[in-house]
Amino acid sequence: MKLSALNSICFLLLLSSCTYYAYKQDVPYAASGFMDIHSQEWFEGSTNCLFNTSIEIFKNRYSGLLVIKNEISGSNRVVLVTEFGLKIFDMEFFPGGDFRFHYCMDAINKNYIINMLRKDFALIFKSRPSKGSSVMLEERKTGGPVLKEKENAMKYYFYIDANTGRVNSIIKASPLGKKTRAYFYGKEGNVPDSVRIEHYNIKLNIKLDLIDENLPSADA
Amino acid sequence: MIMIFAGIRIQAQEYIKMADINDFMSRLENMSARVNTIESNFVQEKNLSVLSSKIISKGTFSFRKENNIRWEYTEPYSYLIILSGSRIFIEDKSGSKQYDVQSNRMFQEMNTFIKGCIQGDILKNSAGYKIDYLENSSEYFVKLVPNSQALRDMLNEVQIAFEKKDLTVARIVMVESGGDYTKIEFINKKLNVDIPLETFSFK
Repeated sequence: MKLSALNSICFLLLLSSCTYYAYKQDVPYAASGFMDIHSQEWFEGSTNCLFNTSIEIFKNRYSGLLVIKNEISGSNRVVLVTEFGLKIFDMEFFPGGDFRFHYCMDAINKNYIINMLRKDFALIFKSRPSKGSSVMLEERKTGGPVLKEKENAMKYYFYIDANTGRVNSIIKASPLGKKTRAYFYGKEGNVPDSVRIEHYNIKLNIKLDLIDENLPSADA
Repeated sequence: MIMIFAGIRIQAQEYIKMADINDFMSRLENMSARVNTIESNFVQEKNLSVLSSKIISKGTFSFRKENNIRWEYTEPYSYLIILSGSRIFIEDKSGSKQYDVQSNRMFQEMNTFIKGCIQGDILKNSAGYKIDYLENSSEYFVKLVPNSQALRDMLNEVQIAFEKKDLTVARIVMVESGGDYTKIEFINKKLNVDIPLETFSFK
């Protein structure tokens, strides 16, 4: 029993330390001298775009067309429909982290699935941290700039492309280690050409590939 | 670039109550017995209330008796689904996969629904749907409202328009709860052309 508890503690310490090994330096962002961050975030501003999408959850795979619509209120509406047109889910993400669930197809209407999807899509809409609350790191492997932000028990690592100043990926980590990583690919505008969301501990992967970045909205 | 059309109504023509439902059902059954293959192009319009325009996709459709259906989307994305016997094959940009129809409730319902619409079998399921029979000069028009609340939560109503001249399906409209709908229009239909069985084989 004691040995088991000791093993658990060692395991936790190992996991916690893994979170940090990849970085060096740890200075406040404001004092880092790194000012060259792209001013526009992904999905910022007026955005109505359509993505070819696949979501793999454990042994199931759902594919279809994903609409991301930026509402006048500043929220992001995310609607996935199958290729045949049937709606799979409809969610809305508000600035500040609030969330509204509009619809989910019966086949995946389970709390744990909805929560995972909610957290994953919230990650791609996550705003970069303010200078006051974050620290600047350097990725040990590449030397690239990484912004770290703490939010409650979670840590977010924003990987910045040193050439363009854009965020090219975000890692979300709990005290037990890395949980999720979102990758953004694209150079122009506020809509990425593609997005990948991967989980470290469970089989849940989301792929978005841009079809159209300029859909007319019903508010227009 | 995806094509966007605005302002297309679900029903472009006025329909009246069907005068002779038995005659329609008997003609439909004859057609179903007579036609062994169907090849067609289709245009699909998805109307979402959050968008002011429709999402348009296009492709080809093939059917061969008894249980072979191939849907291939070619614009604005590539997506292939083949239903053959009890197997489903899906291919998209990420790769391809095969499933047993029985393994997934969504596939079971989709398989039954698609076959039911194309061959008219869905109209025999009067226990599952409340059915309204209508017509105009060129079409028979059938509205199906699912009796099951669970199905109605997903699909409020299904509308199927059959061409009077040959009883083939002209279009299917699936209206969801909340009013969003999908319209699939079948064009350039060819009946009883030779469609090799390999068209429905899984690569």
